Amino acid sequence: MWWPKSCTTIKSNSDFALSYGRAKNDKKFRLPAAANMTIPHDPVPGFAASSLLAAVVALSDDAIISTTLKGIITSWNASAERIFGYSAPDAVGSPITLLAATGDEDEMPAVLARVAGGESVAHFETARRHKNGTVVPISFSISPFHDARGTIVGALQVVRDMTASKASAETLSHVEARVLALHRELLHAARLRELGQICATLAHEMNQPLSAIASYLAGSRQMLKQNALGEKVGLDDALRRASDQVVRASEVVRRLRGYAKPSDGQLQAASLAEIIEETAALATIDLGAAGTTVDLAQTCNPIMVLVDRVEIQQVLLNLFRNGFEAMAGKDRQLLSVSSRTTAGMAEIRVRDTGNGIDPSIRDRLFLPFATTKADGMGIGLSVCRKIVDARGGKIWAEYPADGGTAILFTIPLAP
Amino acid sequence: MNSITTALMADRDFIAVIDNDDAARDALLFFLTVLGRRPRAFASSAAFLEERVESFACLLLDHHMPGMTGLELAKHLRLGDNAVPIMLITGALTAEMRIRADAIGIEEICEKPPTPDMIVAFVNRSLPPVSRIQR
Repeated sequence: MWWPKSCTTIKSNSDFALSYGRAKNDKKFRLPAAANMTIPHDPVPGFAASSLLAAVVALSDDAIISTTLKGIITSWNASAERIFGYSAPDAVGSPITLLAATGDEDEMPAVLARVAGGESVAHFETARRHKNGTVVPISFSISPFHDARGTIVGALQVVRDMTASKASAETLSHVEARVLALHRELLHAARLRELGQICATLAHEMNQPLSAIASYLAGSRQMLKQNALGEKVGLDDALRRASDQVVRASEVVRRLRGYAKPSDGQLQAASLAEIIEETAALATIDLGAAGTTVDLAQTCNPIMVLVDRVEIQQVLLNLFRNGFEAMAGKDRQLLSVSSRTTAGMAEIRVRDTGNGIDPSIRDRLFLPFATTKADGMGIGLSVCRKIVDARGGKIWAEYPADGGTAILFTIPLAP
Repeated sequence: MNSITTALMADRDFIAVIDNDDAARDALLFFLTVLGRRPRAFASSAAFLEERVESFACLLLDHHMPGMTGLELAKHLRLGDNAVPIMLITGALTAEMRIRADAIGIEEICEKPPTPDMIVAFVNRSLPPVSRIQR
């Protein structure tokens, strides 16, 4: 008999929602005095304390289950019945492993072994099996309780049904987070693909400064060799210019790295003019011998936007490259970019002097696979729209009377 | 040294550096000047063609330029029976580029950046050594 003597014997009283059954080897059950808790004793020993406990147990939305240290269920409340489907008479006297989900049979004995050593476990997330076989996600806390002599005689566990919170977490934040992550991965893949396309000419962009550095250094060595340090073109000057070219080369690398790295999805306040200028530099890398002019004069304003920088760069890079392609081979190749604030948003306009958009695809310009390019997938503008939409902006096309195409989009201003 | 060299150099002793990249052009100009040569810089093929081509001993010619490319300028010169030695410098040296350069009659073709040794060797093949000019 392991219930403390100081506690009153529980009667089969309907006032106690807590149901008791019989363990196989015992005749009577008494409520445990407390599970590592101190409950003040009443003049009538134990009675008020135990009825308080019984009320708590009855009212709890969580399952409250006591077991022996060997895991035989000794008490089972109404919520336990609701969560696991077994009635109290079914459950009491059965081993707690009755509830073990497949593969988790060893978990409860392991926990009980710790409890027997005096340990408690709080908010342990795991799964149990309902009477009907379904798996119930739960979180439980478990503590030992003692007899009057302080000997640990059993374990009391409070089990919370996590089905609802798990489901909502999965349907909302979890699924949403996964979709967002997938979205970011797709955008990243698209950026890498774009980098791949301009890769060959990147070598050229890097080689210009390297070439200059090589010549400055060769000249400097030659000056040292000739001991011609007093020359008009000074050694110091040459080395300074070489350093400038190192900076130029590292700028190329920095821009590329910024564009190639996966986005962390963080929005930040940024200078729109700066983003446009950086992206234009990246976009013009592979212009090669083409006689295209990019006019950024109308973007020199202090507009600050709230963006995931690399996303907006991706939109701009797509628009710039579309513009360049549309103008290839034309006499007049001018890409003008302008920006302004309108209706609480920043509006960016990218206009080319190309052949314009075929009227037959204007309606579905921003849908995937709408393209007139022989080697294009028609993905670029649909990606642009995805990005802009996700940030609460709009993207659309205008067809200026004097030719070419203008793509406009809006993004939020920084607060 | 430079002042003496300049005074004694013949009319044909200029070296043309044709590259649209300001830094690459400026750096080559510096290097050649230090070598005791008389380089002149041009930012485009068109700018170079405004000059009297006969006054140049050789050309260091970038291929990737807006307007007339390096290869096009070389072809234009050869079609005009001008045999001035040309070193064509290209960002991406493909087999196709090499064949075209051979067909046009370009003396030297190399990938950017050319090593200083290559430049020195090419210039020395096209011009007498600096020391001999000086005397």
